[in-house]
Amino acid sequence: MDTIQLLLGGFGTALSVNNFFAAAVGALLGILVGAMPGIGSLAGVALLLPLTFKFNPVTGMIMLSAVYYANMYGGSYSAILINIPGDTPAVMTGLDGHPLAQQGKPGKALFTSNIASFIGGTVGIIILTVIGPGLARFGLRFGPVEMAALLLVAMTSLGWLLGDSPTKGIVATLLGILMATMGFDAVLGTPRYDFGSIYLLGGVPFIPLVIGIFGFSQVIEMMELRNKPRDFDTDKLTLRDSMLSRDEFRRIIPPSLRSSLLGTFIGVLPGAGATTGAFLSYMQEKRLGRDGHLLGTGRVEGVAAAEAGNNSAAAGAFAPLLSLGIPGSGTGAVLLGGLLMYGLNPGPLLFQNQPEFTWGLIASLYVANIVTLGVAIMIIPWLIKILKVPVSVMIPVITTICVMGSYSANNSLYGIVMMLFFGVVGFFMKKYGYPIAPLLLAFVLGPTLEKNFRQALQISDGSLAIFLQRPISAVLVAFLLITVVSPIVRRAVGKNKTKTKGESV
Amino acid sequence: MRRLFLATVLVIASATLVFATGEVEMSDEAWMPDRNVEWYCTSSPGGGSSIFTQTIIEIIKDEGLVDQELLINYKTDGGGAVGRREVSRKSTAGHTILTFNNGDLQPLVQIEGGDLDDFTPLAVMATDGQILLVPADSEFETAQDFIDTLQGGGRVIMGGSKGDDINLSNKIREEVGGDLEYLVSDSTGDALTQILGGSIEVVIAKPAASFELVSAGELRPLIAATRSRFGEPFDAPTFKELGFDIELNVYRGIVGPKEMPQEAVEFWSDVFGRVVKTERWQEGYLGRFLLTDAYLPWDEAIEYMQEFEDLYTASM
Repeated sequence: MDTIQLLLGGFGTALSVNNFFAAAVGALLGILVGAMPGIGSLAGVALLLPLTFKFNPVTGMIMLSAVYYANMYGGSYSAILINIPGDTPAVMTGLDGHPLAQQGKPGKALFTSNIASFIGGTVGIIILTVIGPGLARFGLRFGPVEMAALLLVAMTSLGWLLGDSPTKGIVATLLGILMATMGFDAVLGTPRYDFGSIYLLGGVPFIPLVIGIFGFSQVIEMMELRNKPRDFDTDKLTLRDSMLSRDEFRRIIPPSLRSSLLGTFIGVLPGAGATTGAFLSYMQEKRLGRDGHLLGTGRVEGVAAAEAGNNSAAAGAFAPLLSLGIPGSGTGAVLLGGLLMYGLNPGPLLFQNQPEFTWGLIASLYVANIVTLGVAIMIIPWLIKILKVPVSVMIPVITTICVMGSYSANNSLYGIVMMLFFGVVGFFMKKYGYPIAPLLLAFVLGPTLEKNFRQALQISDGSLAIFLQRPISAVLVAFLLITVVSPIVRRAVGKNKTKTKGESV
Repeated sequence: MRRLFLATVLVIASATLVFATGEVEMSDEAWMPDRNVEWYCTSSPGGGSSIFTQTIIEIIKDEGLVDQELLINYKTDGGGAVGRREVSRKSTAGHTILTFNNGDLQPLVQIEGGDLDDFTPLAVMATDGQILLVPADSEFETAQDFIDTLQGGGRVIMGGSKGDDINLSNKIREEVGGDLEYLVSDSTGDALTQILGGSIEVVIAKPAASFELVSAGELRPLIAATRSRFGEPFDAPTFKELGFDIELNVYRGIVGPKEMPQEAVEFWSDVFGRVVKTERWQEGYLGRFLLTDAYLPWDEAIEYMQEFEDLYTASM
């Protein structure tokens, strides 16, 4: 009862004209920043942070939260339209979103992405309101042992992403793991595989890698196929064709809800974040969805699962931030810095000491979510026009975006060199049918797995038994064994059956 | 079509502007900045170094200490190595400065093969200290329990962040002994998550990062690694009191390129000397992040940083 009263009070705070305006501006900025490859939510929030010090704390935080949130919307736009993920979680959105755009249905993909983001965000915030602090406590129980087990489950499910040729998929995965080992050793802090170059000391930079392997490789591809006409009639790209049919609406609701629940939970876990949320949600849909096996060919369900997972994880990440003062993500860390600068101290006492602010922030997340949805849907007609641009114009424009994005990631030309290099790598991978998504996911998840796994062994003094001694990890390991063993068993049983059949005939 | 062309041209033009950083010629009147100042920060936006840098810049602006704009350049390639090397080679007559803590000096010395001669120290601004924390219900009721466990050969799992926290854990292993396992986290926040979740028994933290958790009684202070005790709520015996020679300071400082003209060095040193006198610095920064005022002008900063360099060289 208290919660509801406090929340209503929070809405009173959030819905002042100033704050509403701040949320709307934040939403628009967030979408723009999110759509620009290379400037993720982390940099977006960090760059805007000093600006908001001129506001009062509630308004400032509302604006920053809206930016953070809207980023997730924007990140998927460039993934869908030009196949360059604006941020990491959008890699999963692009898997189905870009094929949809290529089939002449970019509007549907964008629309689905917006609706699923909205559902994900809403579910995430509702869970945050009701059981946020409790959930944050539960998330704490995921130490190195549990996280290592969870990531093992995630890594093995990469298998469903491998595409037509498992061998090529495994090669791509291993390549990703290999590249991720460059840079500092996560546990000992010593440089590994830096080949004596100070640039490689920090490892392969992620943003130039993504932009190159997805974006610039396309430019090379377009140059090669420059006279190839588009597969669809560009006159058909109207707002009406972008609307989802009633049937499509019905198809995206279940995956969105499922993914929202999973995503929120993943977001609460320490250090997991929106990428893992989007990734596991997509995998869940692939396994549980009715047409799961068709995912990756341009299905609205795929877009919905990835986006709902990603946005709900972003909301879930607020739980540890607010109730424990511990950021669940890099962007969370910046927001925490912001809270401190405003003179607020997130921690176990925040809800008691500063209820007006805390509930104002939570209420503003609701407001920001609705405002962002409105803004996001209104810009769809402009967005889909991008696909009407002739290839001869697209090539220089995408190249410019690639160059600027990879430069701004670390403010250095080295980023551009890496981007060009990975552009060539990506081009040949695509040409010879090596899937790119497993490479990227292995690159992202690999180091986290390595670190947690090694820390788990440090805790147990080298004994693997620890994975079975802790209840959460024991359950995860059991799940892992089932998923790995079941296809083998099924195949063996299947073979037997055909054999007996053959004999009886 | 024409509009598109125009747009493309605009995009390319702005891109060219962004990249046109170019080398700028030397000027004789270096005793005062006559163009934009580029301030390098080799950590990500939002972290401790970035808050430190942003705070100083805002105070400089508010107090009108420098007429020109100060722009932060976050250069995080190669764990900061690239930014450090770039600054050390700049000849911009005092228009380039770098945020430089001992967390930056250590990799410079131990991994990148550089030393302080690559830079010109401008000031030491503040020092910070480390403290060991345990959960409220920890079996280590007093500092002595912890020491006894280790000296009795017991196994203790400790966590903390990188850099100085690793140094401290090594120092404890050397001086106290025992089977001390140290889990490195990327940040103090991650390490605090581990201790709240029960994965580790003791955590190394700085007061600022753990203030709320300690005030709320979730964690309690065990032993301070500083010269004297911290104030409440971090009041706990120091290693010195317990008879161990363990004392580590962490400093936050600022340096310029190797070839910075002396006039510029004095100018900046003086500007930072005025920054630390403002109320905003004392209350809004040092007070909030529980740092100790330790301003040293350029000449004393050189000696102070040199001591750390010697320490890092010795422990290689």
